[in-house]
Amino acid sequence: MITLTDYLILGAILFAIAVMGLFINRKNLVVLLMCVELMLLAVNINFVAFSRYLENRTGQIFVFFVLTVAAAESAIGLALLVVVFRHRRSINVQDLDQLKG
Amino acid sequence: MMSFSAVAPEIWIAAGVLAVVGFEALRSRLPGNFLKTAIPATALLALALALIEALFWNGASQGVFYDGSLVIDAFSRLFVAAACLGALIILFYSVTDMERHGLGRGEYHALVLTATLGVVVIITAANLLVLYLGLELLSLSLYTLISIDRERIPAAEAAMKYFFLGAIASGVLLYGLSLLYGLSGTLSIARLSVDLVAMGPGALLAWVAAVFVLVALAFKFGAAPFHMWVPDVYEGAPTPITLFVATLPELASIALFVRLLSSGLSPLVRDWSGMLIGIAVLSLLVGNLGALLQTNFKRLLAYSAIGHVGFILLGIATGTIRGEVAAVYYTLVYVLMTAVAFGLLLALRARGREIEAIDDLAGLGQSQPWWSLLMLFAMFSLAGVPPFVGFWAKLAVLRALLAAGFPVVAVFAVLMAVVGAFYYLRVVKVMYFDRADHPLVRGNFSLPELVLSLNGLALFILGLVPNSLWGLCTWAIRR
Repeated sequence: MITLTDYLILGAILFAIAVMGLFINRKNLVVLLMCVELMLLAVNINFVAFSRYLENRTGQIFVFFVLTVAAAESAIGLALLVVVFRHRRSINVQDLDQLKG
Repeated sequence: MMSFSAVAPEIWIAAGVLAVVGFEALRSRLPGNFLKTAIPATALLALALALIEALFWNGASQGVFYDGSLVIDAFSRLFVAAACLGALIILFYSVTDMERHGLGRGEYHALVLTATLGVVVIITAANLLVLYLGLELLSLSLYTLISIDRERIPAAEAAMKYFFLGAIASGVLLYGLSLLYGLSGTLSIARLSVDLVAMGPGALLAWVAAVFVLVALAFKFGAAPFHMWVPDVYEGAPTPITLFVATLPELASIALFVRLLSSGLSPLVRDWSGMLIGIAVLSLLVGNLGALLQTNFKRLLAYSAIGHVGFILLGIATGTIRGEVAAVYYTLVYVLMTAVAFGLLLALRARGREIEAIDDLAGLGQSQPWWSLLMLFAMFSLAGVPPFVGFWAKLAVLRALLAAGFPVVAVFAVLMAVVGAFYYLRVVKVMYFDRADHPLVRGNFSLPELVLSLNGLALFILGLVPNSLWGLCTWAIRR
């Protein structure tokens, strides 16, 4: 029997993987974008699990909005990536070092 | 009865966005000179109409609207008006500068309007979903605005950093919101606080949710230790955009704190108050010490922003109504002061380009006495020198801290304000006592000069009558 706790643990693990990826990864901006997406999907699991458990549909409606916003967010992220690549010819995280102080 | 009067400011701003985008779509068929005036005029008109609507929202329309999505109360009225006024001022200051950069086109105005719309939605949100959507509308517009000058290499880098840190903050906030939804089964902020009271203290999941929400809000506000993006964004973005980033999102952040933390999570006040004190103390330390080392004026203002956020958060952290009023008062005053400082940066040029280093201001006292006087007003006010309005804001927070029983924190805040006074006074010293090796000229900046002068004088006049704005803030927060 799969209980609410199992879903919450799954969401927490996915969220933790995403956060670890964001902070450990020093190579590739595309991987950072993937981590952001994973973070939002982990939240969606939480919302759906709670919604099912509470027998209340608002959580699932929230998920639709989160998905839409995530799509817009990754579109903007990819556009910024293209701008950075045009200037630097690189999408290495460590090359973003012009601003310091 | 369905009525649209509750969202009248939002409707005007959204109509402005559509009109500007429409003009931009017809660019090839319309004469260039017409577009050059029509686009800024449309944006200004939309904001002015929204401002009027916010000022004259009649008392009868107060309450919660659209199935608990929006709340119109005194706080929304004051802050929606402040946001529209702030956006108007920003457009006034930036319009000539953006044209000089070849960026005066529709995108800029449309994005400024959508970001303002996001701020307005956050301010009036009564529901976690609406709050989140407003926050994303603001953030997504800001990411694009920062990188609007595609040829400017540091801007792309600043936008990238802001994007990733902002995306993490949204993810963390959402995780906290999902836990709150699970705990209470509702997205309504008002019902949330009732349900949290019913649960009683010591619920582990509620504590975890409060930590997540707090971290995300600190990120958005640029408070230490989540401040890494602030100096880079301030320096990397074009100055008109920095002016925007430094002012309107601060209004949105304080609205998030008031709506989510002080109202929604009020039953957990003992859990978040201590953490918030820690964040605020760290922000005061990082902001004021970091600013001492800066030579770039925009970076200096960025670190000073972190320090001021520390003061604002101290007000919220007291968990009292009085502290909340002080924080709201401080935010409004801070936005006014910052607008003057960045407006002057936009109005002046050294060696034919924008002012970047603090040393570029040398000799301003002789060559431009009026503008250097306004800069002096802004710096004294930011430093908290009486009788300028910044002094009363600091005093209000300190008194709220003492009343709530945090004397040690109050003493620390005073010490940090003294450290802060040093670097603001250094700017004044450079302006009046250093010799210029180059003439400082005023950029072509005709109509906005009047607005800028009024804005600068307001710092002095509001300092002489501090109770007027204080009364408004008290009215906005009373419950």
